[in-house]
Amino acid sequence: MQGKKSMRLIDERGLRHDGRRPDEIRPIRMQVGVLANASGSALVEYGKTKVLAAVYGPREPQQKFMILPDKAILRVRYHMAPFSTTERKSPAPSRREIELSKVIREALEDVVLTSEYPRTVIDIFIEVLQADGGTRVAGITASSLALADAGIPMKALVAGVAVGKVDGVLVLDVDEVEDSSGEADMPIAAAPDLNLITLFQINGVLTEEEVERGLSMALKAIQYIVSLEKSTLKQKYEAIGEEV
Amino acid sequence: MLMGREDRLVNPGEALAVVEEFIPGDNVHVDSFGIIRSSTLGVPVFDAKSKVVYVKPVKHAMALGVGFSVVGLVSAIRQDIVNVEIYGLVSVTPTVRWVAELSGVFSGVIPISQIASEYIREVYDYYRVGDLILARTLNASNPYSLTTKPPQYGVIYALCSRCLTLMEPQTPKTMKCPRCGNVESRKVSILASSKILQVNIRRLLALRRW
Repeated sequence: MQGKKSMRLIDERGLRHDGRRPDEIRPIRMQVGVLANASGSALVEYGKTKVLAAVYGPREPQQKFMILPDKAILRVRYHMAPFSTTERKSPAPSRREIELSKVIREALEDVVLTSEYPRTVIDIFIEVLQADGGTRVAGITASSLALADAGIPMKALVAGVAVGKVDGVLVLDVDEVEDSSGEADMPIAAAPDLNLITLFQINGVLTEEEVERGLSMALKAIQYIVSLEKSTLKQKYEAIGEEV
Repeated sequence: MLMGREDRLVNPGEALAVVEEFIPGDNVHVDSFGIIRSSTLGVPVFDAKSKVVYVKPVKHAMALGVGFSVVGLVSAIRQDIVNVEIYGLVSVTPTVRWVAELSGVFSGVIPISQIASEYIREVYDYYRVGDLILARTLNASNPYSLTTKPPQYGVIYALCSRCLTLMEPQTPKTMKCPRCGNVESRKVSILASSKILQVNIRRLLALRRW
């Protein structure tokens, strides 16, 4: 732990520990329709972070008391696989996972047109396969893709990215090292098509000016990630689109 | 905005037109600035005659509407109502065709007045628990009201109550067990002998969805 603290995260050339510039994101890979049994699914990689999202529904909930007469219920389960971290993580849902399930649900509720499917439930399962920082924002990106893959009506696609502060410098798309040793972490999710921020959290201390600068860095990155989402979906459904 | 664009497929959130130009149709929504945006992944259609813009989705989130033909399992029978668990979507015109398995089980009910076009003394003479039936939806929200009045609708898969053998349709009102010769009364669908449906029903049974 002491070794980590003394480690310099920004070198004399202004580059981060993995060679990225402060405003550079990790290489992003996206795949849709990876699970045959789910209505929609997506696998998203932010560098070494790998997150799988599966969407089931709209379907009738087992517990009928949950039913809402005017719209569908969105249920989100964010879960980290026991093998996703360096030390084994208990598979039981932790306090952090329950809280993240809630914030991810709220980030998606703003864009999913739940009123189209009254008295039903839409289940989203987010499984972190490999954790290297930014799992919640990668989970939001994967869920957005999986929802679009399931054909569930949405106002717009959502994506997320985290901004952090290490060695006094604002950095984009923080990884595990920067997250644990840095001074602040600010996960943001947004729908650029609608100019809508759906998730905004800050862990640590940032000045007003840093928040503003971090937000503009994040929104620029989100715009790029959403364009990647769009091209991934189009690539997958191009052939079908011609038949429609 | 997007008319004449070569890239045909649109994603959720992509701007298609403004409300002054077109009337929003299916699978689109209007944002707070009056821009009509696609709400699903699909191909946009600009109907210049009716001035309606809509999107033909490449993938449907399975939900039932009015007049859909469905396959369901009779889960309970009460004095004047039949409870059905809806599993799949079929098309009965022009020929019978399996469309899709639904993303989940939906509840359906057949009121006694919608079972058949005749006076019904006893519901058990038409359906029994465990029968697979074809029915048509009468509304578009869960729980779905169903009808089996037309001849295409009714039982398509039933087991003999004596020896659990798959029964064969005998008349529009009876089914016969090929093993023990037991004859039971049912509201039999004229499509009960369709091989296409039988294949898909065997697949559903093999997956043990119930």
